[in-house]
Amino acid sequence: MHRVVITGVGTISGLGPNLNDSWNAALSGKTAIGQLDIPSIQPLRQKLAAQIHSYKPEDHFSAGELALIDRFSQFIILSGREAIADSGIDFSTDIAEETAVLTGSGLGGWETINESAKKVFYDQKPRVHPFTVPKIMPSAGSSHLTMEYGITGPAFTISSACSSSGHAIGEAFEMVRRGRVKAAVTGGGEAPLIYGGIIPWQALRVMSSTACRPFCKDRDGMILGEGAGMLVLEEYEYAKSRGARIYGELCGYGLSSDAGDIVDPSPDGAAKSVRKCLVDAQLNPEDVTYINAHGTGTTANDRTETSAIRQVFGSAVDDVWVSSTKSLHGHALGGAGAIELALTVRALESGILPPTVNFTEADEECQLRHVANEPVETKVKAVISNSFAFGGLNATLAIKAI
Amino acid sequence: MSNDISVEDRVKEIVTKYIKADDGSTPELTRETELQTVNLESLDLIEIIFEVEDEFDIDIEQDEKTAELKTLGDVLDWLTTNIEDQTA
Repeated sequence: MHRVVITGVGTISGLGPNLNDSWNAALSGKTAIGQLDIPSIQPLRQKLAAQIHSYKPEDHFSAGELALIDRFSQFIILSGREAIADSGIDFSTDIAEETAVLTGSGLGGWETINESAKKVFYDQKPRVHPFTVPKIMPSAGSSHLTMEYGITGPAFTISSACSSSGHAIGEAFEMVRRGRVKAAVTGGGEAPLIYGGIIPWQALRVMSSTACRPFCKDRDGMILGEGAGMLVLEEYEYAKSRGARIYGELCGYGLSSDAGDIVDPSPDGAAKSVRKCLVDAQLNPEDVTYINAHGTGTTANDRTETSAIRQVFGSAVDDVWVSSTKSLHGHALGGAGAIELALTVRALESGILPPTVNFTEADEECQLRHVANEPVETKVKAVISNSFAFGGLNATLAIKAI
Repeated sequence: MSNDISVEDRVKEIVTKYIKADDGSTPELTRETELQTVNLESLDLIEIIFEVEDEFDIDIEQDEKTAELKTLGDVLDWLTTNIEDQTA
């Protein structure tokens, strides 16, 4: 088995258009959650979201490209470009044949689905734009990146709701460590902040009308976000041979399914994912400095996740720092795991842990060593990041310093 | 949409949006301009057909004639005929 390292990172979310801006905003505790501003037909009950207000598609894509590329794919492409540039990997060489592009997306081109449905059902038009199909495909982001860089290795997309990009990065890790490819461009993205996308979430009654306060006594739900995160993974020897800057070693991947309920998570399923990740990474609980939690801010998730962490970490739980950056960038569903891993990589590199903002007082059933409101500076040995999806599909990734 | 402009001019306006020279500029166009020389490909034609259908609220069948379209004049005539047949 090969060792796998992270050499490039990119992200776009309400926090910022790139990793640096996002990281600085996270450390300053400046949440991207604010007023949702989208065209709507009836007034929306949900007023808050972590929207990328400054984003102008035409700054990055031609009119012809925009006819072909849904918003979620745009985010994946932009983060992919950032990660690839950051890594310095050169896809004009043979490495392009030995690179995978694996992305995660829970919804695919939901904006395009909604636009075409509006045209057909509401406007009663007999036709939709000819490129509706290639815009909707959840795998479109992967395809566009392969085309832009001439990457001819395996490329596809994983869809497991809110764990999509966690699973995508995990499977890309497997491909590199088993020697199927030498490098991978991997992550995921989502663009759910559209009228027809908010209404189904409203119906679930899991969204907060005040703020996203994961693990707090007075938390009242999650808040949607949008964006993407992408990473460049490389086989260690290859990265070293080309003199790449190495952020850390992706060293563990745990996954499980609850086999329980389609919306209600199980502590045992989550614990199994975390435990399997630590075993895979050959890490003891006391080796882990920080957990970037799934931490949505819903009662069901936060209690389940706390219980899972306590189960796995045992007496070491008092020493492991925990935060949920969803309080900063919202919940970007299939893109969440990748956005969070991007920030987690920075935490490992810098020794600064990003906080859970809006933190008031921990729920009695969410007692953990929270990074509350302010970043924590510490020596970081290893970190893990959790993604737990509706339908009980769990993924945990571990990174350690090299 | 204005009724002062002829059908052919409205179609021309749609078609020229999809024409780009290799350097990204809009080239000088005549009825004799060959589609190949201005990078007008089959996917562009699909988008043009969609826009014309939408603008004139008609349905355009793609048949063997579509493959025979070689010049800009061919495209304009073919689209205009379709529009006139269905809006007469």
